[in-house]
Amino acid sequence: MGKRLAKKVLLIGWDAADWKIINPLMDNGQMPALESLVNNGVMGNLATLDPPMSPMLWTSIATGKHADKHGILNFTEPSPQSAGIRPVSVSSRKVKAIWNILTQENYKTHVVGWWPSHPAEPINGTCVSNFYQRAHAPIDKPWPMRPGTVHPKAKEKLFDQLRVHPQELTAAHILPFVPDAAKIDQEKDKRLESLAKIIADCSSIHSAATWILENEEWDFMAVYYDAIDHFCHGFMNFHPPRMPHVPEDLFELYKGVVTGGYLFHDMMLSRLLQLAGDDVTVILVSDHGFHSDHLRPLSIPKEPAGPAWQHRPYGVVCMKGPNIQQDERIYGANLLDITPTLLTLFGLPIGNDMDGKPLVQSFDKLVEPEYIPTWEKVKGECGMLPENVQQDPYAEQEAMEQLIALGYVEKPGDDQQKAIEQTLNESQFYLARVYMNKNLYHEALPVLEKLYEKHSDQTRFAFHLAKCYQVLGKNISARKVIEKVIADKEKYSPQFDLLLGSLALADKDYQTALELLLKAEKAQPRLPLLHQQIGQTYLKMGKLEYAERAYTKALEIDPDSHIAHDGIAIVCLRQRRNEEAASFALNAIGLIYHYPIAHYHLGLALTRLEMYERAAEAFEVSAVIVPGFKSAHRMLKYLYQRKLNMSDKAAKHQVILDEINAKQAEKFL
Amino acid sequence: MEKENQITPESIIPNVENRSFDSFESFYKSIPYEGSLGILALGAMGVMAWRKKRAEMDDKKSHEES
Repeated sequence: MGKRLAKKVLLIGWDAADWKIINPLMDNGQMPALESLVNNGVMGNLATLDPPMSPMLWTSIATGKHADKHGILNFTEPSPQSAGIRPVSVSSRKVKAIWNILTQENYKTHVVGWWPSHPAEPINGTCVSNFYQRAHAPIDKPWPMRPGTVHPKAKEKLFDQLRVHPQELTAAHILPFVPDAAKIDQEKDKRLESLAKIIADCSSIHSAATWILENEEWDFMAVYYDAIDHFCHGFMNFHPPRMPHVPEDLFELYKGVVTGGYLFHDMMLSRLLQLAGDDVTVILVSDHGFHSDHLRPLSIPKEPAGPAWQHRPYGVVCMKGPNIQQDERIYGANLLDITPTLLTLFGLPIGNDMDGKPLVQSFDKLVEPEYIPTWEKVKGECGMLPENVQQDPYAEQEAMEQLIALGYVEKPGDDQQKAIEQTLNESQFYLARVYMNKNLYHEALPVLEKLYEKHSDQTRFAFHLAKCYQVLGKNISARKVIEKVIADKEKYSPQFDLLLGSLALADKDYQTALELLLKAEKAQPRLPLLHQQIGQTYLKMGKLEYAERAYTKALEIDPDSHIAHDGIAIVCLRQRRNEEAASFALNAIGLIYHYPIAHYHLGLALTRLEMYERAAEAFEVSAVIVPGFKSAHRMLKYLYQRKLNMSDKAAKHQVILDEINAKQAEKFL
Repeated sequence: MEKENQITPESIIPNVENRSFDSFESFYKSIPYEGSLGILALGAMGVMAWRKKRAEMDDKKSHEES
């Protein structure tokens, strides 16, 4: 066992929290609790995963694994009891969460509200499930908690009383968010009702979490608040600056709700920090961000999980405590890294089957994490649910209604069989996207082909299938799929011009590519990834100034585009602007650490700047991320042989190059 | 917008760091019938105290009316 770096760890989840909103509020002194956390610890972006669906993402945070391994693929799942569908439950999770591992290691562990966590798992501590906060009846009628909400059962009555009902709230709770609430005709406009529900729900979660912190022994506690995501889905369109399609009167009424939601969370955070004490390690994370500026979509696509289009690919991470650096920024974190980091803090080994890495750059000393093959085969009571745990169909129905209200799930209708089929299709579609996110296009392809065969009318299936074909070099198949969709739909979509443009680019037909991309630009100038693609086309055509202009435009639209930063790095390299090239490549790496080509470009820039050791480090990283990255090994051999006088390392890379060459020859033959 | 309706860092979060009976008592005295976001942000302790205070005030009111 390694050295334990943390005495106790408090993990706080704020769904959809985003630095873009937080930073100006902290700068104005309006979020003092979070500011103290940031100033006394480290902070950074937390890159999300695709698809950005919260139950999948929060399970990746808690397991360190992608969804193809952990099994939570969707908002819903077929219900064995009611022969219909139900909200996704913890029984679908196939692997241990951090609290199971810590239970197994005899740590006192509590979990509140994690998504999904129903039915509550029998861990070594208290588990309050994500069904806890739902008020399913008016306040003057009984609204008991559903069976399985709390472990241990003996504490059910206690936690039942800690819940806050939306109808308990008064003007004192609503007016800070909507000062002119009195002007609203609540018969017609139900937004105040939703607002009260969000405030009450997160107050219930907070109440349970604070009770545990005040009254229970603990080593680890995880608490998840979904309210920022709900404030944002309900009210982000009213957030300043006013969007052109939002009426002035509604804007004036609701413009303070999102900001109010963040400030309320800061107040709750203040209490958590106060109860946790100074010697505790605190980690605050979000699963994704939320577009709050000109990138807010004007409309939400009418498709399952359509609201996820409002999500931004970067969430937040900040961490403070013993052995953590102070007032530092960390780069390259993603949400798979949280569980490996937690294990390292407890001095426990990381499973080699985990997809993340510990955030060792956060520590104030050199820490070398330990590894074991997997935690899944480590024996001992870990507090996971026994198989075939029954659930309450009524509770399932209420949770379903909330997902429908949020727009994440379509109303199933009377045809249960159809609802089940749709859920299974969605889960398969998300699984394919998980594979694509992991660069496992060969695994994604059969899943998408099957979906497309059954539902060729679904544009999103066709689009992803075509993309998959394209990456695998099957351009003819890709083109066939797109052309069929365009013909079927009789409807122009710039998305398809973008894809056809990329195919032409892959075929080295640069002129056609450019024409298609510029056509797409005319139709939808702010289409995601469009300007990056235009930049790449100009790069291929050797028109460096045009390429830089396109990438700069991409950055104006989205300053966090790692592709655009790296694109400018390439332009700079070609123009021998080496310092700038290094700087842009570093920007790209800061946004997405697992972006091998940016490490490679950084290595090239540093080599030209005669910073050979650092250049070798950059090439090494790119070669680790992409095994068999020939150009990187070639540069490494050159640097070790000619510049760093390390002939043993040069020889190692020569061996790798020989292997790559042999494989290529074999393939050719 | 009325100042007391704004959510600000100065919104009432009573100092409960020293939870001796006196400080809790003074906090308890300050709880308004309507409650506040600051009280909800205190979590379990705030919610329970607010409910108790509200029930006491309701009792007092009905007693006075009768």
